[in-house]
Amino acid sequence: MPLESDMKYQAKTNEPDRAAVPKLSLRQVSKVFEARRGSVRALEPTDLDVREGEFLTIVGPSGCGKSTMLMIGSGLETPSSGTIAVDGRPAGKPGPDRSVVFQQFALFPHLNVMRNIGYGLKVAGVKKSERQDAVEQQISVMGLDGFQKAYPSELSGGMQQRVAIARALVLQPSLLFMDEPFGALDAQTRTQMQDEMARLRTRMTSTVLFVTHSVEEAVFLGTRIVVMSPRPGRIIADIPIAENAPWKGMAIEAAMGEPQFNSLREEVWNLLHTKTE
Amino acid sequence: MGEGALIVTTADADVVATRTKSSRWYKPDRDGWFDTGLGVTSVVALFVVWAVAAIITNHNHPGLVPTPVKVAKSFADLSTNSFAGHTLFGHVLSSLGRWGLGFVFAIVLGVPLGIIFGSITLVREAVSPIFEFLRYIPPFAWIPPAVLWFGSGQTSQALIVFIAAFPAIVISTQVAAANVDPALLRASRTLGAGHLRRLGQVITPIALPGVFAGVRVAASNGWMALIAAELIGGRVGVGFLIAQGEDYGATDIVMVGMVAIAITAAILDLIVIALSKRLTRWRKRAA
Repeated sequence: MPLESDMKYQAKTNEPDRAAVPKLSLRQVSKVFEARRGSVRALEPTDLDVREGEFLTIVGPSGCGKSTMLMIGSGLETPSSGTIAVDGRPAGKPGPDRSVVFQQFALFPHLNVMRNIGYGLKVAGVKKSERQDAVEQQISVMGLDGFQKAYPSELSGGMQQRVAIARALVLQPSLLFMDEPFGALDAQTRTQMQDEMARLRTRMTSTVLFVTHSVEEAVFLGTRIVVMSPRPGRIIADIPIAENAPWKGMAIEAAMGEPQFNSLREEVWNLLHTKTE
Repeated sequence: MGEGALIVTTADADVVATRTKSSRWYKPDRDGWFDTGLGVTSVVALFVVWAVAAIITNHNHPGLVPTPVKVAKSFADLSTNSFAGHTLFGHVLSSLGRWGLGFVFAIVLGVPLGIIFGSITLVREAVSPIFEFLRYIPPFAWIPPAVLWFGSGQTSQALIVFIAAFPAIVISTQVAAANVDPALLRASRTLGAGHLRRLGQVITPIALPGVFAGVRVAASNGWMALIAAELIGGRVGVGFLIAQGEDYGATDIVMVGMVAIAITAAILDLIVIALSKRLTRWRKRAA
């Protein structure tokens, strides 16, 4: 069934132009959930191109299909219609090249911190010594030193999410999908993790899609913000942010004192709260 | 369990070690000796009631209810001298052998089946009507057909153990496998794990506490069914010892058998619990 569209892609991308071909491309992607009481349209047919190296934040009200869109991009959810391409080629099953960080951490409870982080590498068949080096490096990057042997149940929410991020980053994915990763954390920990994420951002090469319902978070972390409408979700605004925006490099608390940060925040907030009908 | 102790050396604000609270129903600050005392008291009371019953009935029906002392003496006697072909220990070992055979088969077949039923909805829906039907047949009802098919020897008794143990293992494994957080399955897919790894490295280990709950029930179900099978038709084993005691009108021997059954079952249970704790150390401490 998808053969025809596949072939179209093949034809178009025989000689992919690196700059022109988006890292991730959603074409007319929609999602309808079939429920017993009829179907629920979660996502209207949507186009979205994400360029290599972008940190795309997707913001929208609860139930607007933003997480659905993210999960479709990651391959975990199949769209009801439309196509997904990575580097111009039809994306297949989910895999280590498209890592996902979940809101509820989703750490393996029976594996300690080291084994959780190393799991993807183990599946990929990376040798034990190399694996350990990579894991140890991620552990120090994520500030998890001393917790190598701890089990997830022994860690706080913030620490668990650090492990989950490390588990995704250690695979050096070309795409990283983050589904409200700080949504389950307390306010103080969240602020800390937001600053940490901004710091990590400068040293990682992944293209990031980051779903959140916090406008501040979206503005603070993103290089581009996509704003979505309430259900059925669709994109109502697509706002690029300059790499040299004045708050880049600041902590989030300081950024909140920046007039430009606040005016953008207000703009996004207004987009979210005006009736679009 | 000391090796799991958390090292909280970092001054990191979000490092909070989770210490699980005691989940017992009474106040945890109460003196532990009080509970031990309660237990000892009720055991002593049981022996007193038993002794009184023995003394009263001995007036008119000597030997109908043996005194605890008499049973203890017989216990010691049967431990060294053979009765019905073996010492008490020999009978217990023989029973344990057949129990082990059926039990191991129940685990080897039941755990993988339960994992598959629990993880693959289609298989579960196809097979569950059969299970629902079979589970209303008590294991004891299988004794006659088993004897007809396999004779009254080792095989049919091990089969009875298997039949008694298998459903508990399959059902609790299935429930545990089905209850594995779907987010973990999604996570394993994004980390590159295929179906087999998902079953073997994610679902099975995470379902293990539930599996052990079933194994524990299965161990005692199997043991009890075996004794029943031995009572009906056997030539060795604790059940057979009891049946022989009955034939000789030796109530003390019958009761020695009963005590041996209980002690063995308790030991088996402790072994299963210890094994379970060892294999699921990742669960919250003091859980």
